[in-house]
Amino acid sequence: MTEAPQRVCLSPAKIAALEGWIGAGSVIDRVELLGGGAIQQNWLLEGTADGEPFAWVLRTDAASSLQMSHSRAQEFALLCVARSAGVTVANPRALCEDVSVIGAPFFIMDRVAGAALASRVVRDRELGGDRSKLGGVLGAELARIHRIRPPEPSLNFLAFPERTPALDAVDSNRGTLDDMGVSRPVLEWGLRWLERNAPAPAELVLCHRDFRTGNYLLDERGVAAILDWEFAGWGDGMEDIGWFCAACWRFGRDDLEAGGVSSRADFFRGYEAESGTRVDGDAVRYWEVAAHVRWAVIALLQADRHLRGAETSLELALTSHLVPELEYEIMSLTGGWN
Amino acid sequence: MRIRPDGAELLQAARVVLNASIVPSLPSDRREDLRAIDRAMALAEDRLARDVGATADDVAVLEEAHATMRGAVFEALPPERRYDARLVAKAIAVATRQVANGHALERREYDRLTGLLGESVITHATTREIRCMLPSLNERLGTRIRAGKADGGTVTFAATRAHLEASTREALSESNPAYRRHRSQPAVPLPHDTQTAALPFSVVDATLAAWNDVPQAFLRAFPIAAAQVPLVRRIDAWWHLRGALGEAVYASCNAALASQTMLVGWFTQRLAANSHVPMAAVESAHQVHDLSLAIADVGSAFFKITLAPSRVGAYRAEATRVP
Repeated sequence: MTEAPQRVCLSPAKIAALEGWIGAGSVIDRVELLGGGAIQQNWLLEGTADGEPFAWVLRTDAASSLQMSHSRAQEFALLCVARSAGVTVANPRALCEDVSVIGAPFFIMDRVAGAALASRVVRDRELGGDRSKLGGVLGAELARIHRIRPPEPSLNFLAFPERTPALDAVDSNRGTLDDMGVSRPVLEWGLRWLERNAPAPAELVLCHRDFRTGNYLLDERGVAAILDWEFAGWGDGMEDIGWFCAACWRFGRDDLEAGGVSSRADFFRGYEAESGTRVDGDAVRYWEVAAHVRWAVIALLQADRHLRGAETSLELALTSHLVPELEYEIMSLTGGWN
Repeated sequence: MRIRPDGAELLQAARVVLNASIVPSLPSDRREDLRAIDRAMALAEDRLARDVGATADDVAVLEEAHATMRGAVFEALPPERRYDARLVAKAIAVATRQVANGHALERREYDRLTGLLGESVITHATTREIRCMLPSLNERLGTRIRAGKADGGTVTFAATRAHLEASTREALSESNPAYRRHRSQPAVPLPHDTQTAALPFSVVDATLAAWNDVPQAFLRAFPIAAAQVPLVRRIDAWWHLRGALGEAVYASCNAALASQTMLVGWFTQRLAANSHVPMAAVESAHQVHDLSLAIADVGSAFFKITLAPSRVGAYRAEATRVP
């Protein structure tokens, strides 16, 4: 799943090439780089094709790809499977792996109106309708993702756990820290706790692995689209629930433990009603520890990219200063403060 | 446990953003502000990179740069550039705390680690030597933890945990001192009833709240004051402090035309949303900053805190128990 970092800039020549790829007679009137996406770039494209107006989003690589993120082709396949399973996602239109078009692989999906910016989502009650109901809707969306299970031929690029999802995550995070040459004793403490308290393997489901506030679009009625499938893989469904409920993804709304938008109870209720599976609170707590460890490792990776000069970015550099907050949560969740 | 990228590296990256993104977006008559900010950042970057001790004036200059970035510069920027300004301000804030702390945290971490690992302490180790030794000491501790030699039930469990908690608190004190959750109160003597005591507030984090993000939330919480909202021009700063009495919040604002009741309501809402401080006592006074307000609680006791404004990191505060 390794990707070479590439930066795409849609120059006039590339836009012309893109028009040619879309089809004869197609015209792109408007191109705009959309916000968000440290790992991927999203471009708004508006124009006409076959005489019909379109508003699409082109998704391609940003400068700072992470090794564990999927390629655009894989993400496109995930989006297609999710849509077939009834998950609310943008309609995936087409995939292009020919790098001669814009310089990197990309795919195109319908533009979906809405807001995803986490700080706005947790603050603006005009978005998403009733918040209690919204928590349930998000739980149901996640349950539909977890309904996707192996074998799934179009997702045969997804690896299966070598030990258990929990222990594989421990191994993966330790390996990443070792590769970076970083020694963070608090993260080692968290990883050791995760190793000693790993849950028994559960039935494998498709885990989104970044299902959190900031990665879904809301409009005034509710959820408009689930975004960012680049980390999805086979795993334990409780992992996604722990990620969604982790303190690091509440954006200042600690009173609403499910993503800063609803109570856990509302979120769990929606999940349980859709899946027919009871949410295991202890397992969720376990995966919350894992969430903070994983996010800390990713934050260190992002800072490492800055330090190694792969991409000089103040935003990436500052990401490392989130790590103490995550370590604080790890120490709290693994035994409280002395 | 100082983390990388450290203050000098952050300032270096922040100056690139400042000059490439922010300067061209600001009206020419405001660019002198940016030159002053850039000078302050360059000086601090140099001092941090060379391990040269900083003075209170250095800290004050950085604080001024931070306030200007979050205030006048932020407001003069077009919306699409304000995120960059926030990032630069955050970098300055982290660097300011590192400048203010000097080498104290690294020295403490070194002392704890050597004790925990049974290493002999080099009493007169220089900062440079300590900085060179810390990675290998941390690696040894990490290896010990991974091997299960600090698991519950081992003799080193409690000491390891205590060290990690202290390291985490110290790292937070530089990266984001306002971050607090389920945090135990420090065990320090409390002032007696009605006695006024000087309290050292050692950790300060300032957050400017641009006035344009206020009205929506304010109106929802306090609809009766809607007509008065335009009268408050802006909140100047929030100060989150952690000291001998635990948590405290202090705000100053340009509130000459606003009613005190209205502002106290707004502060109360912010306090309730951002901290675990019970709203049992609120005191305000029209003094140096037009209006100042602070509150702290320790167990079931509540204290009024009066803060003396300062341009450096440590605030002088007086606490009086509120009946």
